[in-house]
Amino acid sequence: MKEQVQSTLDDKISQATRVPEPGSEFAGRLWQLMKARSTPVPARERPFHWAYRWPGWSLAALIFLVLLIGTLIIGPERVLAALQKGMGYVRWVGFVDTAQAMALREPVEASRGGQTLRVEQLISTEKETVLTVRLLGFPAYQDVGLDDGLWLALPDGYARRPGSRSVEITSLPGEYIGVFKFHSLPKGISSLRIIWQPQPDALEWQIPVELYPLTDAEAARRLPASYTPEGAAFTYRGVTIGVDQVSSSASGTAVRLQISFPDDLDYALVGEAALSDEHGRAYPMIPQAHFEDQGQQIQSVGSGDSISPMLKNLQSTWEFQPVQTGAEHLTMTVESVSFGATPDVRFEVDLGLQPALGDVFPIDQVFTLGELNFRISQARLVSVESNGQPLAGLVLDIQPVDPQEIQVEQVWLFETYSNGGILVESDVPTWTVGWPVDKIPTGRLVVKISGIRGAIPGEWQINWEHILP
Amino acid sequence: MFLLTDMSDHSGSTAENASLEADLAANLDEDKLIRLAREDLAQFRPLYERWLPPVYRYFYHRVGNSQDAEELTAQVFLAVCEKLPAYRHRGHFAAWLFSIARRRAADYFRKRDPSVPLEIIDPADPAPNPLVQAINSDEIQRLRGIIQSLPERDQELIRLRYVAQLTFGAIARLFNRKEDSVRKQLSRLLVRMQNQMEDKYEGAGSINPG
Repeated sequence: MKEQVQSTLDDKISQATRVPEPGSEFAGRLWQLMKARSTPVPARERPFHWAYRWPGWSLAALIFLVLLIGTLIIGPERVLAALQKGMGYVRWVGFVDTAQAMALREPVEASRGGQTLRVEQLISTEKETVLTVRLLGFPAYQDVGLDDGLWLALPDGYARRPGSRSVEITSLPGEYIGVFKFHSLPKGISSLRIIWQPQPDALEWQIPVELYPLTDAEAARRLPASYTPEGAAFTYRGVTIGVDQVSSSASGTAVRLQISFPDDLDYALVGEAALSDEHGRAYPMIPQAHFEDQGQQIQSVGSGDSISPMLKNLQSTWEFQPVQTGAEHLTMTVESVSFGATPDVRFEVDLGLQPALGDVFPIDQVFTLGELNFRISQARLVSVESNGQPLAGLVLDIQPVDPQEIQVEQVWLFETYSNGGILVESDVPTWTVGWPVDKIPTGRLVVKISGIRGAIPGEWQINWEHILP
Repeated sequence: MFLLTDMSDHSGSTAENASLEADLAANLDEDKLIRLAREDLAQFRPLYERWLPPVYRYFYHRVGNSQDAEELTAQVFLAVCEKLPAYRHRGHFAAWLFSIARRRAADYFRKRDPSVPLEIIDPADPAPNPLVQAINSDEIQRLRGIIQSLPERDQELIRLRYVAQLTFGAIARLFNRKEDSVRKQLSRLLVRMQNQMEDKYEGAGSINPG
């Protein structure tokens, strides 16, 4: 009864809040404007991914070979120690390799008119240069122009622009955090200027900075050291979540998760993670701390010989409140993992000679993605409407074989030979194939499921022995 | 229900096939589209078609006229174009998109009178709008009054859920809260609104709530 009342009220609210849709002329105009303004990223500014250029197997083989040789020469314990040495955690950036690194000794800032640009850290390693800046006292919740117009001015007169950048708005009004990644600096460069011009005609900000070699002692003092826990991984439904880096300091505990998943899936992402210790103490996540999804990019060759980049073995870094004294064992709990896949599942629906609205076509076919099983129970011809035009839509009923194990959020499908259009139902975001009512095809129809997205509820519990800093 | 494109018939002209190709591209995963769109904006088209109407409706509901709704919608999508290379997609494109939209709306109201009543429909809009006619019933009018009297936070929740039709997950990310918490907030809000509706019916004395 309660659900019925709510459903009725839902409908009424939908009516009460209904507004016109955008006009097609406006939609077309805006798209043209977007195209005119879009500037493709020049090749030289793209972040260089050497993994991108190598087949995934050869990268994995190389890493394995290096580890194997290292293990044979100096023994497993020393390999582990060597791997851990030189890894430090930088908030908003993640775990960085501090070997051969140059960094600021202290934050540097400039202020004017009540506004401050603070350079929190500039660390240059052999692989990359990462800059973290914080804006204070700027107009709240606005586009302050940090996305663009920031670069490094090197002493030789060259400018270095970021290959990637991200800007976070913090919970403090007027505060923004920007993280910018550049190529590694040329050897011998220790003095440079950070320049930011928020708008083309605005007065630019300039902050000279001096970088110093990050010795082991300096790294230990400035960056929380990290360790690699042993055996900290948990697998459920083919998705393995492991903890591969942990750092603990007075300001927070950072944990980097490594997520691997079956090849059938395009990605698996951790939505929320919780950290606790053996005394039952929970450590809340620091919402504004850095988190990221980085994966090993590989080339995926599709059935039509198309090549597209895919992400595998995602990494995700989270930061939690500092672990309290006395905690010797930590547990990371992940209750749900979202996934996406672009399977090539095809099946036939026999519409018969005179298909009509309301017809149901049993299918009862099971398909598998990794360790996830789905059942296509039936297809239905339903009446749908677009711009006042009545249409016939073919809706596919897909459910997980065990609904407790998977939640399906979205399914994409299209049939392979007909020029049917594609509809999406707003309440139930399931794609259907549709035709004008008088042009429903007859006979056998091949339908392909081209995409599926969902969540795997579960409880990944990853336990490890905590190494006190 | 939202239709991405018109249905094309089986004969399939070149233009229709081109349209169909765009439709089929829409089937790709958002994540993949965004990665590809960083280098070629044309790959963004399916997402543009998917998300233009919710963003426009959101603004229209806030500002009450098509001119400003179009202007704000354009600002959002142009900002998306600029920010796309820096955007890290985590399956939360909608939340990211609407975080930009909400900031634009906040800017707009900083400069203008925010109290635009929902009844005001721009006279420049096509007049015989059946949707507007459909919402003229007494009951719906009363409900609109109740919505307008809600605190801004609750109005925003209604707007994001019913006007923009965002998922609870996306709304939760926008509000930086857990999904369950947003569901509960809306559920409690609906109960309150239902009670207010019934109070009004009783006050009116002659209308059966059904």
